[in-house]
Amino acid sequence: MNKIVRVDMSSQKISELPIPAQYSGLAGRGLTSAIVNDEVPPLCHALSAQNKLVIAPGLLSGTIAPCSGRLSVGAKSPLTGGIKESNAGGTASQKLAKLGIAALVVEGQAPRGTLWKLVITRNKLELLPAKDLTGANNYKVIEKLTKTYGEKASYITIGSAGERLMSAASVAVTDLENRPTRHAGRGGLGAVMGSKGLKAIVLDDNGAPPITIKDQGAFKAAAKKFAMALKEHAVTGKGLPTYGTNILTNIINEAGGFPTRNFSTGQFEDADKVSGEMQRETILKRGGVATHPCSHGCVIQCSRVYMDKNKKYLTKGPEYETVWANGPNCGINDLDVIAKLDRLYDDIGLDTIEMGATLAVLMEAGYIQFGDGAGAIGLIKEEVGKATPLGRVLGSGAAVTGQAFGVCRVPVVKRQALPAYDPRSIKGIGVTFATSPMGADHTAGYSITANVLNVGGRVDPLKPEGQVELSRNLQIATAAIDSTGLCLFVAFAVLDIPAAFEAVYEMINAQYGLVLGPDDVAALGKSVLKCEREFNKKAGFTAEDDRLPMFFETEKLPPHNAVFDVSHEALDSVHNY
Amino acid sequence: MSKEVSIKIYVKLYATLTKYIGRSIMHEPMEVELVKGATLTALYHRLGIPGDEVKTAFVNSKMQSDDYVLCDGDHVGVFPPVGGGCS
Repeated sequence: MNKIVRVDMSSQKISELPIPAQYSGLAGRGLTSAIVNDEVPPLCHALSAQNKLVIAPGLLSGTIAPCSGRLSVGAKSPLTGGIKESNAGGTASQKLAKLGIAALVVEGQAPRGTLWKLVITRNKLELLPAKDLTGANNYKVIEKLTKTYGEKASYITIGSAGERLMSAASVAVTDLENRPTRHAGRGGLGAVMGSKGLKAIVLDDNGAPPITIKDQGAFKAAAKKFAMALKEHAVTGKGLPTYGTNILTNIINEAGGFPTRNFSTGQFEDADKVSGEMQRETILKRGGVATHPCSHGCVIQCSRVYMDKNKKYLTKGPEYETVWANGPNCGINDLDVIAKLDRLYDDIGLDTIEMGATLAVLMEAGYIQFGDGAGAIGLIKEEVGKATPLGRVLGSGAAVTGQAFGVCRVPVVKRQALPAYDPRSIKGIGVTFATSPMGADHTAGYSITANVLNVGGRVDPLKPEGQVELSRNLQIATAAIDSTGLCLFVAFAVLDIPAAFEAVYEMINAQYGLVLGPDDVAALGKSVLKCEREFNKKAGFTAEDDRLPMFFETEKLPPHNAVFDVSHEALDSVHNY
Repeated sequence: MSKEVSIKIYVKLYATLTKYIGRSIMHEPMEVELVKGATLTALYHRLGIPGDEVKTAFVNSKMQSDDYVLCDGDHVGVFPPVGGGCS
């Protein structure tokens, strides 16, 4: 990875430049956030020509490093108004890395009414008209592109929601079966891609040379050590492969932190009906796949393939946060309804968390009733999918929908919907939701580990003590991991097994000829967060934006009757490092 | 067991632990009778669950350690190591 490719949509000119010295050692989130902070005017409108969409593989992407296929997508977010990095699995990260591209920077804005596709092969970079894809959703887009570019290429695409500039629009990435099931979902980056007039990116690495590794022997040894640790850890070696991420439904429900019916209570009476155990049984009974990788070289394999009642492919196995947002959070107890919504979101190109939260807010308003699965599917398909005025409100996310319908209980931070964990009874994750530069984002500092899962120590989830330190350390570690291209799930092993942590920097050292140690990993994470917070400050964010909505501090959540009581002063100390 | 010296609790096992009661999934909690003063460890022993397979246990929605002394009417949820959290 030695070049930055810039695509000027205004002039349709493409340029290739070597990576500037200031970005040496950066990749993934570290690089997307640095470029956005350096080049995007913080006060620009996120859908204007001044914003830039930056797509980057991680430091280890494209190598044999296990689970190194994450792709970072960054920009100023039209949802939050702040900096955004959203990452996805799938096959694109490894192909970008093999094509030698450290970052793809999409800038400017195509002339109104034109639509383009960017085709990247070993020898060629082309921006071609894509008028025939206008208004098409992701599955149709992939079907059409595959006829020209084949099944072995990777595709980064937007559905109709992205083209229509909806703030909940995602960027889709194809998986190993060439399906658009892996999404950089959060923060409306699909709308940024749509605003540029870019519908699709085709990546064909056929004939590209392998990634240069400075010390092959050391790299292989470290990769092996890493793979062994991932296999050895009970979560990455057994729990996730067997049940997928939705294994969390039961444990978060037992802990009383499972937001139900728009965060009005912490337990759902039908949690077992939508649990990971139930999902596994349903998948196996219908001939689906219950242990499945979303990208090459994944040894965890938490992905799955979900069939409908007629045993035909419907969608990938909905992830825990998708199940929660569109199930219990909406009072819905039917996995098939959730899977149909998941398919619609992947197709139209929408963030499953934001949309589930939005539906729950709409239910709170009484527009449809909690538990109305058919109503929810109808709204997404007929309103959001067709961009009616109501659909545009919903596609703008929970904050806008709450405002439009006069709802007080709107669970957002920095206008981004809270995912799957109630901060009143799991306070560590509340600290992350409040203080992450990304807005409410569980992946930014996954305190559920020590709060509930007994991984990486133990901090009582119901007490305010210890949560700031927990969230701070996880936010720093995550910012570093997000820069490596490694899937965040490696953190379960990295937190518990010293050899796994060592293997991460040993792989990077062997690949790049560096001598990084544990302190350098933490330093990288801190520098990424500092850069992101710098952008947000320039964009107008203050300490008061690092707060949860006040109802979390005043409305008691059953069964623990807890409120979020980490002090504002404590929240303001999270980023003191 | 006489009522004075025994307690009744309600137990749900999750994920891979259901194999110890011969099922793949538990929808309803099962009633277990134990002697008064029994701990979570005693419960695992009664159900034939090796202690090292239990990672987390909740009693009435609060996480408790193995030496927790159970009370009549307690609701218990027992988990092996689990994790996830991505979308």
